[in-house]
Amino acid sequence: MEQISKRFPGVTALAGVSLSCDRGEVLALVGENGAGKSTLMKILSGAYRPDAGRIVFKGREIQISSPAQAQQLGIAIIMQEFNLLPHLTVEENIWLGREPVKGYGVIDGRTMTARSHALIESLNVRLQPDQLVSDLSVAQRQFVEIAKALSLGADLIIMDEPSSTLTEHELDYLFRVIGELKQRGVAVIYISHRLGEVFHIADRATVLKDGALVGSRAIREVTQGDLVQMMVGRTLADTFPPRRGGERSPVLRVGGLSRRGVLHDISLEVRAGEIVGLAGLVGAGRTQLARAIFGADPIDGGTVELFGKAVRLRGPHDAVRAGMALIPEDRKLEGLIQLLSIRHNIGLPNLDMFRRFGFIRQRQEREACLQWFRQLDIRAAGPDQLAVSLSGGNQQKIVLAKWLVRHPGLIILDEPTRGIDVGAKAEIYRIMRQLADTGTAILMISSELPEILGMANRILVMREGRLTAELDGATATEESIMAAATGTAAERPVP
Amino acid sequence: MGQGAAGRMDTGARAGIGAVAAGLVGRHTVWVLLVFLVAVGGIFAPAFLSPANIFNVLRQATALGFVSIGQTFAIAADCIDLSVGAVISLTSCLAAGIMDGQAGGILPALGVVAVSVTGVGLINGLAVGYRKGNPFIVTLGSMAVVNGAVLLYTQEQHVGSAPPGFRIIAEGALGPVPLPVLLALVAFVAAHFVLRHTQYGRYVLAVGGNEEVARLSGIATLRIKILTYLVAAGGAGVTGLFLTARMNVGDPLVGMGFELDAISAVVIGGTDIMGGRGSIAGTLGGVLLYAVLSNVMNLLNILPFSQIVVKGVIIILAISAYHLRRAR
Repeated sequence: MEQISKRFPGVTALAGVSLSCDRGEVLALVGENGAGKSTLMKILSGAYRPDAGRIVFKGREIQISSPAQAQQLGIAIIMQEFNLLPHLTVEENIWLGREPVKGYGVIDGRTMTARSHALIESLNVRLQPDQLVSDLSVAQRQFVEIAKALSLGADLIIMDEPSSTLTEHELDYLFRVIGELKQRGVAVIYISHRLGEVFHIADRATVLKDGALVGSRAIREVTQGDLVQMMVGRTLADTFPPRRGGERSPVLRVGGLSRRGVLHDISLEVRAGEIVGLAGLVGAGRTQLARAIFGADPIDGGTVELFGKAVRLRGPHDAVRAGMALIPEDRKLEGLIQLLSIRHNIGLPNLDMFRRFGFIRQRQEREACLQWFRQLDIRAAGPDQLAVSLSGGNQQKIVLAKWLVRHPGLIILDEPTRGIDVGAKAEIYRIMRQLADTGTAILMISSELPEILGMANRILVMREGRLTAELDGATATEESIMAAATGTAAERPVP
Repeated sequence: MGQGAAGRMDTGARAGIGAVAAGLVGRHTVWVLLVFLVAVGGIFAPAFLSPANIFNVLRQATALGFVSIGQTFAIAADCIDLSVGAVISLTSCLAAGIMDGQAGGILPALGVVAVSVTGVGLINGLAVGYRKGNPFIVTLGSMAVVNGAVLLYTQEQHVGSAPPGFRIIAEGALGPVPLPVLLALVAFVAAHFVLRHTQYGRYVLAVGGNEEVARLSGIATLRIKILTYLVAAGGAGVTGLFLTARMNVGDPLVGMGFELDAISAVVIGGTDIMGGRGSIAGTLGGVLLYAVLSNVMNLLNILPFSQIVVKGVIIILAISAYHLRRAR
């Protein structure tokens, strides 16, 4: 791939990125969340089209206009979410849509099974063609995907974060299969931000950052530290308002919070007037922690205290009543009811404040909306406009307004600036800082390190469902956060 | 849709008219259809517009009205209730069976009906809200259970009768206006206010619009769902009582088909079958449309089976009009 560029409205996702991968080579593609790895791979697999640049495959310049065409060319992509039908068997999945037939559309089961056996054996994995996919482990499903890719004659297999849900043992198995692929001369692009694995399996690593190519190095010639430096080495944007806030009383206190397989013995504290950043890789359990504190997911053990009083977490309504607010990661699906008006959305958690004799005082509700329109500089035609018609930044402000009406003591923000433009981002930061200055406790999940470093008084880092570090916001660096998030350096224990 | 329609028109003037007509039909489909039907009735069946017939139509509409009010809340909350027809039969047989023509039986009958209707609503609500059952499947099941129980209890025979004091709710009148028509009107106005102006009404639309957002906003969604199934069963119960008074007998099959008629009336009235949007005024239009349609077709001597076909066609037409509007 040479000089690939891709722009989305408001953002440049990729700026002139080039990379190459030879036959029988395993290329690791690394970079932080949002560095452009997935966009690049979606271009290769035909899901997106590049705005500029060219793709050369097996010596020929090609245009990939659809996933089906990518498949025909011999490019297969294995996503984190599998494209398998769980109620069909292994062989039915492998040959889906290309089943060997005897004629009259009758499937030649024997041939199908024989070919599947051959495929599976050549990969040297333990799988039966007649097993149901729903009975398989995640790793085994990956093997089915790989077998399917091979049956299609793939010369390039792209794996997007294949290890994120695997156990150590399964991972070893996956590495063996990748080794098998190398032997056959298949090119493999392995996307991961776990550097340990990269050093174990890859021949070369290409690093992306903010949609641009940082460099491409042979694994033998670099150390993990070098790669981390390449991934994060950038200066802090100065869009962040100055940090303040001294020692104040704790608002939220979480003790030993656990949810089997997701969260392990998490204890933390957020004080009034403080912004605590929660960093970690995607899948580290940060959103799950926020949902558990808010009562949205059940927990197996642990306590949540707000203003020194234990909160019973039967559901979010308990958390809301206690004075918490959660601004979820996915605005469209969890933050706003798209087909209701702005007023109905803002009113939703606050009807107890607007009602008299059981009736909603609509004028008061409307006035509260207009007041927050002014305070947060929300640009909308009026309170009765439908939420769906607003831009991302304005939608996020509506979600904020919906909670600020209640003046919550604790606000949990999950990726508060994802997918919104730079101007709106700066405004969200300003609002967050203002809230903290007036004594609100804020817990902010973010995958953007500059955002965490720029906003947080303290930074908690999660990895695989555990808190692995607590860093001071003023002295933390992207390197120290990434080290704790990926587990590459010695971890500093949580005090 | 206006623009799409306009694009296919040849001239600007026709485009304008087309867009206006499309907009009008889209937003007020049910009322446009109703006016059209009344006009057809008035022209082709002179008896249609006589005061006696108009009140007759309205009286016919009341039975469907109460159950459709409940169904509006249910569908708006994305908690469709297929068991309402069975609840109507249950109510009819319990009330007539217990009263058995005695005035002294009225209060016990109302008590038993209230308890059993609450029971059905509660079970539906818990199964859907707490056990996360699919509303369609859960209420399909409870419909079968209740229908079966009613048939067992009655041995498929008519049971009991209603005392005169009870029949007032169907036969009484205030001046020229039949009492049931007044009761239904009051119920529609009250339901409209509940849906538009109370916390419960807002929460119904929120749960139907996006349950997860509603839950994360601190709404006790389980409570809303249970309440909604109680409202749906309650509407059916009132319809059942009203039919008992009108027919003066408990009929184990009287509720059959009411669930579909109610769903049709609600959806024709513009309530979104996927939940999140609901209109009690629209449901009133849908109920009236149904009653007028039956009446006009009867007056025009259209065979009963043909009437079913016509009703089906009207539902499809009305719903495609709403979909065209949404696609816009």
